[in-house]
Amino acid sequence: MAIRRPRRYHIYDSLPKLRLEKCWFCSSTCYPGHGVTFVRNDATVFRFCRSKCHKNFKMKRNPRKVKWTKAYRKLAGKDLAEDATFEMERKRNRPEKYDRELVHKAVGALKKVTAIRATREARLHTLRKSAARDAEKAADLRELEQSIHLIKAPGVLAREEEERLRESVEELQQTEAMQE
Amino acid sequence: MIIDGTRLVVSDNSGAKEVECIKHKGRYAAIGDIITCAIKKGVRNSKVSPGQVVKAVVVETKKELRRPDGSTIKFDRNACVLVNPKGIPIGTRVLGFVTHELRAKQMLKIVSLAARIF
Repeated sequence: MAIRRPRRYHIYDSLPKLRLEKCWFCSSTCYPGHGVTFVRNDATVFRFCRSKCHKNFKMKRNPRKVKWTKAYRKLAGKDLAEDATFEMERKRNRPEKYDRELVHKAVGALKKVTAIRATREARLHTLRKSAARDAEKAADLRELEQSIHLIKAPGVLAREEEERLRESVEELQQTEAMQE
Repeated sequence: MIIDGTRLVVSDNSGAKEVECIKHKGRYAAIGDIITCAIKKGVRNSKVSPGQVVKAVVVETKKELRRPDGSTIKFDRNACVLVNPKGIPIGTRVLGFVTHELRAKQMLKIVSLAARIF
């Protein structure tokens, strides 16, 4: 009977298994093999998804003030901040016993929750844009009035001006005639 | 990336506080490598004293450490743990951080003493 020698230790054995972490700076997902993990002397672990976020961190920038980060967008109300769908993504430290049915259900739930969140985010965006839509229309009308000379030929503009003058003079004459 | 002249913080309770690398193998010393160092700063009335030449294991580096799965980890300082020529730590506690690389290099005593392993 062969003596079973214990397998030689490989660092893979003690490294944490696959888990998708969130970037500390921009809140996007840090995929395995990407980004840097920085351990500060007070044991705080910072995970960055790419060097862009890492460099911004080294510059001591506050992600809540940097426009393209999720932290800023949530704070400024541009993206969905508080929603029940986010509760589904909370990190749970208790490992679940493997159950095929549970995995199947979880995958289905994942898809559903993502779809629901997408519709809610879209709704938030249309709500935000609706206020801007009226302002945009008013601005467009004003631009049409003021900058029409950029499109129409000066000859055409002059002719239209003459016609408008003639019409207003006619109207004035008519009203005077009616008054008499 | 520890080379001759690099000052390292000693993260155990051996009595030394700061140490200067005076010899390493190869181009640079990284996490898990044993270096020879001279103690620059130490606590009074301890096992080791400034001026002494000791061996140490690098446990934290500012230079990133790359792992086989592609992940990268880096620390905020360069730190080491003093060991005797056999590789057994001189101190009784390891106060800083260590990484799993030490376990692969058979430095299990240091790993067992460590408070936090990354």
